[in-house]
Amino acid sequence: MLTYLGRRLVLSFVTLLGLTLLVFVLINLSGDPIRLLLPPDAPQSEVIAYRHAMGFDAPLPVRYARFLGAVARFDFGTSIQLGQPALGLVLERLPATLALAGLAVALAVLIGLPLGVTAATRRDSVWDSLVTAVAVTGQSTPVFWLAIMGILLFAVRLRWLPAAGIGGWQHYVLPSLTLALFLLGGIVRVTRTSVLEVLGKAYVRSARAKGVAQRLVVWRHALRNAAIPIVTVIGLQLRFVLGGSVITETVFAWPGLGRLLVQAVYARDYPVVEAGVFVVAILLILANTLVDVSYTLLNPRVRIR
Amino acid sequence: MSGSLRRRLWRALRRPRVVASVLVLILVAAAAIYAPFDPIGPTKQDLFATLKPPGFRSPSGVVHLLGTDQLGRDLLSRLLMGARISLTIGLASLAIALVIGVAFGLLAGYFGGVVDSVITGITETLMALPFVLLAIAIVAAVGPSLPVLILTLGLTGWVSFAKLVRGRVLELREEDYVQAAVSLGASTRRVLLRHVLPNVAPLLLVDGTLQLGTLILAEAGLSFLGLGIQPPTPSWGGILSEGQIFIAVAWWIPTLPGVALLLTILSVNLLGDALRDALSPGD
Repeated sequence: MLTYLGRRLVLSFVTLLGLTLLVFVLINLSGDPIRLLLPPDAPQSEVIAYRHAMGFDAPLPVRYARFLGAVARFDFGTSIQLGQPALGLVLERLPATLALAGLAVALAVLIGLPLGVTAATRRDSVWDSLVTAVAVTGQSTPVFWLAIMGILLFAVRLRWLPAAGIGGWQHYVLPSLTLALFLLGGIVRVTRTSVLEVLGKAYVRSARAKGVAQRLVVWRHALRNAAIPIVTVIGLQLRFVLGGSVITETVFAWPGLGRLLVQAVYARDYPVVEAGVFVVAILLILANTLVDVSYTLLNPRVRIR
Repeated sequence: MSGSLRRRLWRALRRPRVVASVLVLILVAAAAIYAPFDPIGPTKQDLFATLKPPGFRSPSGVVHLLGTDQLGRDLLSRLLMGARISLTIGLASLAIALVIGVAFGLLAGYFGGVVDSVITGITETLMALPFVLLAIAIVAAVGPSLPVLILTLGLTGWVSFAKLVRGRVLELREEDYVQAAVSLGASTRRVLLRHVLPNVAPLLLVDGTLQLGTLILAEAGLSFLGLGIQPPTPSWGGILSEGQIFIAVAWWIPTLPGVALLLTILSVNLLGDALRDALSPGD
């Protein structure tokens, strides 16, 4: 376990180092940063003086080293748009995103597990075809379109739910369901496949032969052993949840990290984009480490190294 | 291709939903080819006929089968051109992703060692971020345009191909016929291209089909966010985005591009699943 965590730490470090390189290359591709910071009619002498003061005339490796130092101190600079520290802005918006994403994952699991199990236990029945059709359709539906259709039906036509913003529980319904439906397909399909595989195993047949009730066989014996691939898929999906939340937040005017980043791109507010990139990357690395560690809890035979 | 494989493929492709998917895809391809020849055209405005419902006939006798948008542009023409944009971007970025993914996968799997570590490092870095965020970082730096969009999708969409090819190469390297070719003095290039690649091709066909759906969906998402295709060029995601504020008065503008997207991507996914069932009997 300790060696695992050590290796993971090294790998995460390499990943973050790779990201700093990527971001550094992108910043330099974006053209002369001085031109963004100074008024367009600034005299040439002033441009040169400012470039020297900001250290932009140093050779590339030196500038990369300085950039690395700043990132290591979590110093992403000040937002060009809002004049506040970029990291603070990002962290301020994070809870709203995590609440939405967490709710969406929970909903997707609560709906997806029973559907997947139903499809597996009634293999090749009408239910199986229906569940599989729902799963494929869910995976093929554009999130933003689903969100707008939800607004059209429930907010514009029926007037049951608010169309946008944050407030009471009603504001959570449409955004979280939209995001959940997007995740549902993957969870349903992997649950179906792994439960089907486990149902064919000897211990399940012997549990059945012992006279254990079908419900208990499936939910206690089968699902528990099918858990690892399901948890793996949920772990892999976290990337898509955070990606999907960028779009969901934009449609529903949700005051989260995703919407902040989209607005930052429009304003060419690179410090905020940078801070967001690193915060999300660190979050995903932590989440994936937790997923790996949870394997040992789900199945004591698994020894992660 | 062996006889049994061909039979399995045929059986998988003959199922009704797969036939329907192929028909939808042929229709989308036909729309993409026809789009520039459409008599109305996707950017022709008629400010006397804005936000008209499907089937509207203007006084000058032009019929708007799917209605018009806020500038009186014909929605059908815009959707047809959108099909052209979606398919062009999807296929172009898929080609880039395939070339990079196959090359990196072959190199990493065959040479191992440092080459493998470096390539794994790159894939890990790309996988550390949601795709949308990666695209946001790129577009924030270089601004949105068609080439940037294709390159962004292509340069980030190859990871699954590289993993697939690498894994298969590691298995194949130990096979007798590959060992035999190597000991007979075949060049590395020849071994990789003549002996290894043909064995990965069926898996790539499955993965590539599914990836095409992902790429088209990603393009639509970026254009929806305003980071992809810029107006007035019509893309399905862009039309949807421009139309969303008219949702209460002109439901057809945000609804129909989504239907087009859903049908296209669903068809690609169903076809991909059918190919997977046929080509990978192990599952």
